[in-house]
Amino acid sequence: MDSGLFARALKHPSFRLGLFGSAGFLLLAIVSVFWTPHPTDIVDVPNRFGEFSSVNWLGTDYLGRDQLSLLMVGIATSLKVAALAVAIGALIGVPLGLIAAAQRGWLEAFILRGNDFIFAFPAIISAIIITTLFGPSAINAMVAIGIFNIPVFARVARGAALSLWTLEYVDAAKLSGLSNGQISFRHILPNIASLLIVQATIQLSLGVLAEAGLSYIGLGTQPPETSLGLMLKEAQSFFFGFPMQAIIPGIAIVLFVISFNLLGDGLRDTLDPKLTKAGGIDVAS
Amino acid sequence: MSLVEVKALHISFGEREVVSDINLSIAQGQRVGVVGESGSGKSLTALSIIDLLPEAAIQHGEITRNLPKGDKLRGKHIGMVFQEPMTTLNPLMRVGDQIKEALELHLPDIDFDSRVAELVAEVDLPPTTALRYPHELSGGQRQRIGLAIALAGEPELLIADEPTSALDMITQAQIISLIRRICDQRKMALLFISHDLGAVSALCDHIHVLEKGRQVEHGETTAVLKSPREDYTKRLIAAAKPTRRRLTTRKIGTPLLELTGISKRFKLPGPFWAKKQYLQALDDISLTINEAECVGLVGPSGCGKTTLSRIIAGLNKAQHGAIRFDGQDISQQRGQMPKAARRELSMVFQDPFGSFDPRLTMAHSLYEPLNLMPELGQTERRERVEMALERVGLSPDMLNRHPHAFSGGQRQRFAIARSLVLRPKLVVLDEPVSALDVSIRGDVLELLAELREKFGIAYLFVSHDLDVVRAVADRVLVMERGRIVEQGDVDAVFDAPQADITKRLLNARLSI
Repeated sequence: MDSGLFARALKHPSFRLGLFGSAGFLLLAIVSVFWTPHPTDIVDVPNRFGEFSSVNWLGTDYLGRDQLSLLMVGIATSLKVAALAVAIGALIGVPLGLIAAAQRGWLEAFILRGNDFIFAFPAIISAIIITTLFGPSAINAMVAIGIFNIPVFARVARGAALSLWTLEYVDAAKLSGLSNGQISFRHILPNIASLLIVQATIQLSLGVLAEAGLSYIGLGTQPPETSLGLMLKEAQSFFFGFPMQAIIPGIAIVLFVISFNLLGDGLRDTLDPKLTKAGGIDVAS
Repeated sequence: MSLVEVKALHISFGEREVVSDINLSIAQGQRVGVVGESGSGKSLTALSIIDLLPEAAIQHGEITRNLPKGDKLRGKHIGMVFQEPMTTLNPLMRVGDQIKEALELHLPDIDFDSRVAELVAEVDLPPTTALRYPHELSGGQRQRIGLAIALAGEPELLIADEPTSALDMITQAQIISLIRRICDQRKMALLFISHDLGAVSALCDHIHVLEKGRQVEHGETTAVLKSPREDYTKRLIAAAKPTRRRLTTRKIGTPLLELTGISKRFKLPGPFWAKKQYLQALDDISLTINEAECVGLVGPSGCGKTTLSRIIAGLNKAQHGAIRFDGQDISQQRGQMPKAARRELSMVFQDPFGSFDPRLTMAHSLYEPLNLMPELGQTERRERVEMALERVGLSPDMLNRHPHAFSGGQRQRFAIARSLVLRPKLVVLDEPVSALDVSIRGDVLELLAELREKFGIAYLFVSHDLDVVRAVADRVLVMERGRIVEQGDVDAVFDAPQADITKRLLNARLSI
């Protein structure tokens, strides 16, 4: 992405807001790796369900652990799971989509039907199958979400690549004796990168939601680790007595997802010339 | 009294002035043409008359429209026909209903159905057309429907913005004679905008020549064409009549490329249980191109000339037939074209904007063909690229820039340079000048002729423009529906055409 584009994107209010929010969450996650206000693995039962105070800014949970520290670690876990799930989806899905567009014929049909096969199962059911087979853990949740990202990326990559394969510079590359693989990496991938980046931000926010959902039903992150979904689940039993226990991670999830969606929207608006062209007349040329 | 009077019109976007000081007047029933290249401000001028400028545009100057007050301006008094017939119609509505929609807006008290039928008949379409959807119609038919919609409000002025640029030559000639007939019958004024001097002079009595937002010259069409005062107009007129170029020192050599019995058919899409439908794109094509010869390939759109040129360049494969190139059979049914043949054969594409990867520098694009010659060292590669650039009159320091930094003409020079890097024996030129503004067409044609003279490169020159083909080609092939229907010396064929399609193509020319 060139710098001119970034400057243009910064003028977009939702991109600015999204960037601000996402950067904030990312910062919290990174800080949590090195430092949290209080340790998250020390139980202090007498001090449980603490109110907001100068020591524990957001109070304490049912084991007396500091909520803010848990939240930071939870954001890091959620982000890690979502990011790796996106990486799995992109690293497998994008090459599949590029191959489908480059080779056409039976291979394309095979890849597309494979996509449909994955899409045919509700994500949550497959995640349950995977976690039943391999045991519930953050890693398995990540793989389960990642598998569902594969067809998404494959479709976006193929769709965008197909239109590029009809262009004359691709013909020129063929005349230069480049193989389909070389053309895909040299000409196709860089030109669809912007679309893939937008898709990745959207999948990232969906991944955070999916991780929260899986952890909430006990199939994701397992204690003593923590994640936003797990915090919700643990707070559920005390909701009427101590509603803040659930509201805090809940708000965090909402803000998290909104930030990444705004970021993705802003990027898409900036990158898609069809949406930015004003008045329908190309006045620039 | 004139119908529309534009005085000292200025249009700008922010700081940039794109139209400056244009004066124009259209009298009742007068046909006025505006000619200019891309970016000359001709479309914006038209849009300001119909009050459709984009919001970001700032307009100064005076536009007087002597039209009845109170009514809607657009559609009712001024009708407009747009360039792209593919996108101006709503794909989800029957075209008759789209005409009716315009009638409902402007003439609510009449019997719509009979009026729709009259309008469809007026644009020379069969009555059943009204029940069809846009995708069932050809480009020319859609443009006729667009015209019927523009006529629905019985306008006093019709604005046509490049209405024929997206159509092939034969359809273009038909649409232009239709517009002329309708204007005469209705005594309607016309503002015709085009980059094509031929189309404008065929239609208009008065002509305005625009260059970069300025009005260069205006006057009676015949007067301007006969005795142009400004250099720019002279260049435009000269470009519309391309100079004849033939080999002077070099002789046409032995056969280089021989095609025998090339056939190709495409399977048409359809459900898998239905009987397979095929389109015979090429039917038993045989041809020869000699060394240093320029062979023109002409034909109406859809006749298979693009398919044929792509098969010759090795981008597509034929299903039957043999191709011999430089004494070697290159028509293997399986696998890629041999690299040795690839080196000797290259192609220049129609669209100078689409033929370079926007993300790569020109250097990347120009070194790409050398992929076929891995034995060359770094210095030899650079020499080759720099020599190719020199041949087309560009300098090596331009290599580090991206395609968007260059104009259409420069890009087409780069495309020619790219095809020369390998020092090929045959270059397939697929409409190499059609996408270029007329004033730079001449330069590119001159360059091509010069390269042939110096290096003995043979060309297959694919074009729809018969005047250009006549100027550059030694021999011409005329194609229709996948067959070569006529071939021979370019002058012999064009002076005494035998095949019906050749006659029709020649008649459709709009020369000035």
